[in-house]
Amino acid sequence: MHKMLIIAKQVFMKNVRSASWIFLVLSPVLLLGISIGIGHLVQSSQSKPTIGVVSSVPAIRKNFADSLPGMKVKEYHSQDKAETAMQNKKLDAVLAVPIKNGEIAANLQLRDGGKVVSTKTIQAVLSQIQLQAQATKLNLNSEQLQALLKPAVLRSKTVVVDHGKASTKNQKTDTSNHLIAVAITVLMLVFTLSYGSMIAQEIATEKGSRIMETILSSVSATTQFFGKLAGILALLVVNILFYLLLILVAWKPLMKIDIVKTMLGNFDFGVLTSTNGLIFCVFFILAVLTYSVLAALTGSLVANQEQVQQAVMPISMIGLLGYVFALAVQGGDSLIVKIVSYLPFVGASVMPVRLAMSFATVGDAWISILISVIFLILFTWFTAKAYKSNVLVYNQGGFLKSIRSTFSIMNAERKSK
Amino acid sequence: MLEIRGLTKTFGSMVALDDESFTIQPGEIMGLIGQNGAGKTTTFRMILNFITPDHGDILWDGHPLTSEDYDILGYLPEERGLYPKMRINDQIAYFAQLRGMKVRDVNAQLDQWFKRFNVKGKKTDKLKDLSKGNQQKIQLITTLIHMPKLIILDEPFSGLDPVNASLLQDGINMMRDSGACIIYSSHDMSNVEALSDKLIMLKNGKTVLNGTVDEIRNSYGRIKLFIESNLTRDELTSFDGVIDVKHEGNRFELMLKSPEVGQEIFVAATKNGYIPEFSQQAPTLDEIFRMKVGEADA
Repeated sequence: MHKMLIIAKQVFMKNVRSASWIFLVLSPVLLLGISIGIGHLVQSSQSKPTIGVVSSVPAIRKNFADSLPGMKVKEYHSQDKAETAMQNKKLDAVLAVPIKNGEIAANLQLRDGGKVVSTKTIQAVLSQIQLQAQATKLNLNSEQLQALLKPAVLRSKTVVVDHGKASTKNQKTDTSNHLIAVAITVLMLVFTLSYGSMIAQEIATEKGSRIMETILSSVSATTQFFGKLAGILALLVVNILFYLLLILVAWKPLMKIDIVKTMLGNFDFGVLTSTNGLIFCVFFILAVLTYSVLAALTGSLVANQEQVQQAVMPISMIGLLGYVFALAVQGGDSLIVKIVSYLPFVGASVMPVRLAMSFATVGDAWISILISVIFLILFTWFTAKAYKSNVLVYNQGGFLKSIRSTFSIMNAERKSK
Repeated sequence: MLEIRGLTKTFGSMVALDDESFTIQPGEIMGLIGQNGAGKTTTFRMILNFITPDHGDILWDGHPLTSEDYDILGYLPEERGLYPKMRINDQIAYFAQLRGMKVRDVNAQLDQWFKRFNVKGKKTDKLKDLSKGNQQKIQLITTLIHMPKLIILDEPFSGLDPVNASLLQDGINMMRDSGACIIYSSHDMSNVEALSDKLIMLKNGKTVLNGTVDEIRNSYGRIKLFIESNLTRDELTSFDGVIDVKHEGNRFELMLKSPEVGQEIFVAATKNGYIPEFSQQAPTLDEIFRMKVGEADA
């Protein structure tokens, strides 16, 4: 245990100071920061369109000035003056609002090349004015008008049936579930690929440079194997803690930015502490662990440092496969998608999305988790055994030949014991 | 004491090692020689518990050598490798910690080891900034700093210049004096002859020589003859029992079937009195190695 910690500490310290790990941790933050910054800049730099409202009735002009917050409104008595202003590019649009017998037949002229003017907003304000005009004409008081405008009530809810029990969930939770599932899928891909590659490279480099032999004369292959995994997983934990801390510190300032507020406005944070949230986290942890073990296995198969990229390839391929299936779920719940959601590796990306889209129940998710846990235990046991043989096989003939040599050594070792 | 008894290992149909046995007492150096693929590295890997023997025992002080004994081991692999971007002191401390040594003890002794092997460079330098020779010295320090009781050196002299080879020899002798059991492999017979108390030669997994250097050389008898006389090449070749004749000027170098053949030649060479040279010697280790390699398998 003590020597395993020494190895884990060495792996951790070596990588935590490396430029590549620091870049790995900071690059998403920088990317997100730059995206939010650009979005904010674009939004704030977009000036409002200016619209000239031509009407003989001051109340109408005032109504527009008050009801069009996304536009600058200039009031005109004369159509000609407004049009001249538009020709001089001082206005982006001219809205003439004549009233005849209490009816509005407005006329909107848009300047080609001018800023975008929302006709929907204008239409809504016009309808409101027209409504009031008609109400006045029909001698309706404000209560009567309100009663007339009161919409019929329609309450909607989505009911989830799980093992004969029905439970309600609201739309906001649904969206949040979906958002988290998509985020988990993307995060899973990024983290498993990044940390998987790191483990594969770490082991492959040590094996390729023959440092491995010196280490294995001091500790058992199993101790070294788990020490490496522990070191890399500690890096992952630090990475996640860093992000959480960053979110905690940046939360308040971030929520002041319009674009972030809009993005997170529809998010139900209760999902994070719900069963679904827990399941998503379990899948995330399982995926990281399973991919890490796979990475250790492929890393131990290389013969020299030039083959390190070959060690990383299987991880990227399986990772992308899971991602593609997870995307496919959003198009519908096909039989293939159902099956793969129970398989190790890809299931961890697919099942959370199926759960979020209500294609799978919580029970289905736990079954998939159980399969993944059993697989992880068996796979780790096998990898630890194979690792001992792999790290001493230097087959220049490539991966497949290395795997064959590994099996022959494992067989010879089994017979010797 | 390291005791190897009847060690056998096969990989499929290939016999990598066949019934190998030897012992190394504390303070003894054993040289393991043989061509590539003879079974030297397989022997080391079994002692190191990298692979399990099909048969045989590896005993350390009478008990089976297991992973519990890792801390008494010092191993220098044939192909050297350290972390190029890591600082030297961190690197040595890491490997020493894996052998159960404390970092403060490593730091306290590091200067002494740098001096002993004449390392050119600072302790805080990165390994990649050192010359190849100095990198090899660092690797040797990582092997020895914890003062192991059992030292395994796989081709330690390969790639070393004569000065560094001599420093390495001094290092090995120092460890021998401290009571360590040392086993190493080498292709350079002059090193082996100078350094080894005992010798094992492997050929296709079989032990073909086993004993002290003198025992092995003497077991062949004085079958090598240097002679300067009036005898011609043809006359020398005509003796029954002369296997090979080489000459350089008037001086001949003969390989004899048995030492007794020398007496016959001596009589013939000295029948007219004085001759400048007649020297009958045991073959060198290098010659024995070549003879053994050339022999057909039994």
